[in-house]
Amino acid sequence: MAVYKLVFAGPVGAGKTTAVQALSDIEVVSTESVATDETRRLKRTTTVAMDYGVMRLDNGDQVHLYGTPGQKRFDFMWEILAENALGLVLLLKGDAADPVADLRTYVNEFRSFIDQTGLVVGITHAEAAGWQVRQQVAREMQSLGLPSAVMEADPRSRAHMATLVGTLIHGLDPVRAGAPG
Amino acid sequence: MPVLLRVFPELRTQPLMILGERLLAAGDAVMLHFNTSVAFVACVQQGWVATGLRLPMLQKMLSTPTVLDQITLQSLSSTEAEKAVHERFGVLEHRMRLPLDTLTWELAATWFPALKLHPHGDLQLRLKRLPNFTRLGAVGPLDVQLAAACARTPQSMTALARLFPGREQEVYRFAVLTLLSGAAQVTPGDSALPVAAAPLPNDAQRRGFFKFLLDRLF
Repeated sequence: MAVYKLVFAGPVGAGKTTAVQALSDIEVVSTESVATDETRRLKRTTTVAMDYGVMRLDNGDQVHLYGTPGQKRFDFMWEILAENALGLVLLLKGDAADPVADLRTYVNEFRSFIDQTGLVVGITHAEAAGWQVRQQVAREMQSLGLPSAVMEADPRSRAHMATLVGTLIHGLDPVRAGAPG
Repeated sequence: MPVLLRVFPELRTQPLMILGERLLAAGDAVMLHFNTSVAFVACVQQGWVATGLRLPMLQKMLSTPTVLDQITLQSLSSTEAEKAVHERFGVLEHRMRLPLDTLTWELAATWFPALKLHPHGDLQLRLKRLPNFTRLGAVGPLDVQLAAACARTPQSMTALARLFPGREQEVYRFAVLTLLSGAAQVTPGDSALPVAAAPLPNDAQRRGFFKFLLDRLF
């Protein structure tokens, strides 16, 4: 049995915990704590160390799903969680003040990891955001020299999260990943 | 669009294609009147369309061959288009504006599978951005796989079709929908480029893992 790892990152309130829950076969282990700082304006509780879930595959392999804490002061966890991971699912809150700036922040923090693996971006809270957010993020990804793998996504939807992860996996090995046998 | 029509001449008679050519010729933005009513305001340059019509109605409208006789276009500047949307929809403006790429994909997707494509030549496809897969009705894992391949490096449509024997029509469909929606562009060059694949450690083992993971996801 082999164990692989996927990381979900993004700002506070983007839906990382919910995304891990949507895909996990186990009850997600969450280190939620009552928010005490400026995060409190955005949500009542927040992840302080990580969220953890597991996908069990038919061949016995497992994919461990890690959600990083959104707050910058816990950013020391980002690097730890990303070590040896397959790639990064970045969730951006579409109705945030500046989702493009959030993209830049996370790409900057995870740049070497992304360059060695892959990145897919999901724009959450898309209904409240403008139609143009996805296109702005796509353009910024291009200007950062990254494939514009971005789409709107509801973290509560398993199908949406599966499409994001599938996109990431195909991005790692576009043809052979889905090859039969 | 000219390249797409050269490779797939059977698309020429589709009302959506004819309308698309007229829209592009009309300039930055356009107001489309159906009979005497405004059906939508579109700004091709900025990539949006504002309409009160639901997708099924637009699909029905654009699958009617005689619809083009009842459509008139009015060219607008981007500023005039903004003003027209605001006047027409007021506070609902935000909800009525849709990304043009998503709408175009959904409208053109109705051609398939009835429409069989017979390409006259090849296309080198490069994705500028991924289609908004989670919001599109008619997409499958192969679309995601093709998108990932074309996002990395330009891919020959013919070479991709050879890679998926028996699924050539799906590859052609992907080419048509990504080009028409503006997600992809045609890059110069006639020869097939090799399909990129990342060098991976423990390749065979990992490939098996990818397959099981994708099976689990989809």
